[in-house]
Amino acid sequence: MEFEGYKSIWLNEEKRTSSPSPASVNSARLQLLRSSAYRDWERTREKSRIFFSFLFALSAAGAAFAALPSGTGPIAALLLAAALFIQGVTGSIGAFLVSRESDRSIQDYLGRAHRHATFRFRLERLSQASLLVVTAVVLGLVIAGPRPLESPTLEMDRAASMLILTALLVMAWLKARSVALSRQIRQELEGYLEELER
Amino acid sequence: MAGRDATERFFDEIVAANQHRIRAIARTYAPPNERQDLCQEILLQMWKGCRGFRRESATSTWVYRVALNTAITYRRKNGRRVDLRCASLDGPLPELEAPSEPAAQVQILEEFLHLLGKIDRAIFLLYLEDLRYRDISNITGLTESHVGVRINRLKTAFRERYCGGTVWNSKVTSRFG
Repeated sequence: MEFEGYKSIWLNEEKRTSSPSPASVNSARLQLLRSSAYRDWERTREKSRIFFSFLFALSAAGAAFAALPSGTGPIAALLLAAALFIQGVTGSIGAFLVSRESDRSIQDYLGRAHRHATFRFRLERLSQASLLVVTAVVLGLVIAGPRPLESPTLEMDRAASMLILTALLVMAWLKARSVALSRQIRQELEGYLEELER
Repeated sequence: MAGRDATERFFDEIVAANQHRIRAIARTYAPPNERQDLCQEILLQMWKGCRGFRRESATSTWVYRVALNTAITYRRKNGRRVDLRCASLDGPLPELEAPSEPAAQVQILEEFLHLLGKIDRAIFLLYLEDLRYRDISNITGLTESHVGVRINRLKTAFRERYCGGTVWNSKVTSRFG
């Protein structure tokens, strides 16, 4: 069979299977509801992540000034606060880049999506670099930072420093995953743009 | 409130008139277990775009744009890329009975679509949907002549693979190439 034969069968099959009905419109509405509810939940989760970054930053800064004894702990807590603040700021900027007009031509849409993905990737890398610098500094402080002389405060300072270092390492691990995802998205979009030009 | 009612009516109309197009795109871009999710995402993007639709282009063109843009860049909620796992274009031709039933021929077309890269898949699908080069150019953003060249390449590749030819046209992009 020649190609045109296949094409006409494709068109006939579509005509045969497409039967607009009120039931299908209702089903579409139900699907829309489910999808938009999921998106709302996703957006809420992202917003709460940003909100808690700022909240934890405030809490860490508060602990540095009010709760922790003098030594390595307060400096590490301030650095953690700075890292969380940077994560919150970059997260807020990234959240603005989510919405895109999907009714543009494929070329326009992919071009815009690629620019957004590149910007987002750079932002992620920047925040990852700042997080790694802070983690390295805190590690240095844990090893060779100033220590209180008395026994109970010394233990408390050590525990606080280790806790903060662990928190930073967890953040660095999560950041590495999100940087990898951003890179993958950017590369995929690059691939589509290249395919479009071929 | 009246504006919202009008948007809802418009949305219902375009869904009713274009559901076969949406289904065809979901079938072409997602494996069976993820088609429903892709349809949902396309509907959501259409709903979002309903108010901004300026009727400068045909409704079907608008639907194709939204649906294809969504399908090409669709990722699962956990960030995993959605793609079909098929044999490469350069791989051996699967054993197929001489197709006599229309369903088998549609299956062959679907198999061929799945072997293509996402952009070629969009262009070939639009061609199968009987759109003119000008409309395909409006949807993809490519020039009409570029669309023509690509469709010819794709048709040649299809003929060579399924209509008796043996040499594969290397210019047609595979998802793996």
